[in-house]
Amino acid sequence: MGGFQYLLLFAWLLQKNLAVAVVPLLASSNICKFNPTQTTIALEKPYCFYVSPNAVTVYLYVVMNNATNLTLDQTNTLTSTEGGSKAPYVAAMFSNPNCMDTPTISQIYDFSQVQTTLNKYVVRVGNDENCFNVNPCNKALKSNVAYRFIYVFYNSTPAIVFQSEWSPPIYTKQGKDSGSIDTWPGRRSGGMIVLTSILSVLTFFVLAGLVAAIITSIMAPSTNTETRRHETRTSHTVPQKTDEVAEYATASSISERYSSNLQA
Amino acid sequence: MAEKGSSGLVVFIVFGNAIILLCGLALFAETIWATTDPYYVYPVLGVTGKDDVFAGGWIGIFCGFSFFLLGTYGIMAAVKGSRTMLTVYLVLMMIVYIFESASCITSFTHRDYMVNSNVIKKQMLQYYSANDTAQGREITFFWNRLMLERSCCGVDGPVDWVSYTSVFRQSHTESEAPWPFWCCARDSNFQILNEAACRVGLPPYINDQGCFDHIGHAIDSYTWGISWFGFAILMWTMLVMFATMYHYFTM
Repeated sequence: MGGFQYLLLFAWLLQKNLAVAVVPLLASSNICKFNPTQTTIALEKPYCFYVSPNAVTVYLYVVMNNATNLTLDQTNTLTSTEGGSKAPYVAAMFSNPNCMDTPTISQIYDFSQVQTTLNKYVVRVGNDENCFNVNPCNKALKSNVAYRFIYVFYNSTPAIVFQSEWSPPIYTKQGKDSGSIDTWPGRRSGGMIVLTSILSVLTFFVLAGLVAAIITSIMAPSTNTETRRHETRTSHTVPQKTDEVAEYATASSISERYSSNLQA
Repeated sequence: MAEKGSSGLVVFIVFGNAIILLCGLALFAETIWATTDPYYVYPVLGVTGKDDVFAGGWIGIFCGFSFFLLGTYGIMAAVKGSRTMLTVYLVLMMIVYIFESASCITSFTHRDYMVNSNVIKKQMLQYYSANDTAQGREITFFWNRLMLERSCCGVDGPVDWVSYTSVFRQSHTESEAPWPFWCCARDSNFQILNEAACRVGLPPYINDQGCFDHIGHAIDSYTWGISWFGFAILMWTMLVMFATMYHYFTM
């Protein structure tokens, strides 16, 4: 007897959970890769939430997470609820999606069908920029605010025939200030360190070598045969140039003379 | 005198200068290639005011041609064995050496600044579609062209445009354009494939790759050419200069 009661309870729970545990979900990240953004949140349309042969219209209500009044009212608009901060407002209304006709991946990638498939599958909250107090108004959301959503199904009366559960809070993205991006390059690359240090050291060595060479060239000749070269400087310049090959052996003496010219 | 013992050294100096001469010509051509900017990334560097990768390129043009001339002159000086000519050669080569070092270091340092930081992203967000300034127009034109030609979007992808505030966001709401329309995939006539699909960020209809790879690759190519090739020439030049100095001491 007791076992039968538990079985009944279990069956009732099972039925209840299956029927009611439906909440608005974010659209698949394969479809909406960058979701949510700062002012929009793309949701999946409620496929097979409520199956009925009659004409049913789905209302999407949006409310800020901190709103206390969750009364569903078809006449609530974005302006009258101050963007959902006071009470849920109707952001979109559309006919109940056909459970037999769920969109497929191939339709998404088919260029000719993508438009209709997206309309069937995605409802983008914050999609409409220009609604002047019309209902439903789907104006841009506020950035970095948690929103909750609910799908409510109305028949033609209109009366509520079914409603999903409230979604968990979904945050819109916070737009970071682009001026706050740090442009400090951080660690220097290894190549830059190697190049700079090696080149600096080598430049120093080469410069030191050059200075040494010039100093010795200035110091060395001044000690020995300076006077003789000064005497021969003017008279022998022209003939020496003519027999260059013969003079090649004594080329160093010529250049020494030039260098002492520099000094004089 | 000493030239009998150091004739092998003279041969080395002549050979070394021949190499410097040829490398100088190559550096000359290579830096001209870099400064003409075939990848078209100059606006990115120019607007930050950190365009010294190209400054290094211009110094490289001067140094390349100077290496060519000095290599020729060095061969003459070594063959002639003139102390004066060698002095002039060493002094001039030293000057070019210092300039070429400056070119290498400048180019590499600024490459680090551009590539290792977020400066390109910040610049894109602050200048793209700011059509009231010359820099804004230049950056806008640059990014439009880049995103169209390379089929990419933003620096790291479309997420740049929804993660940060930007000048573009002030003029375009996310409802209308979460990212510039140039991020949308286009057909061969440059028509947007599907605007609604692009708007929700559906990958085949949006370029979900960032453009940073292209910009980084271009800057790196220029820098490797200017800095590492210049560095290699300087290594060789150093050996030749030491040999010349030794020759100068012993002659």
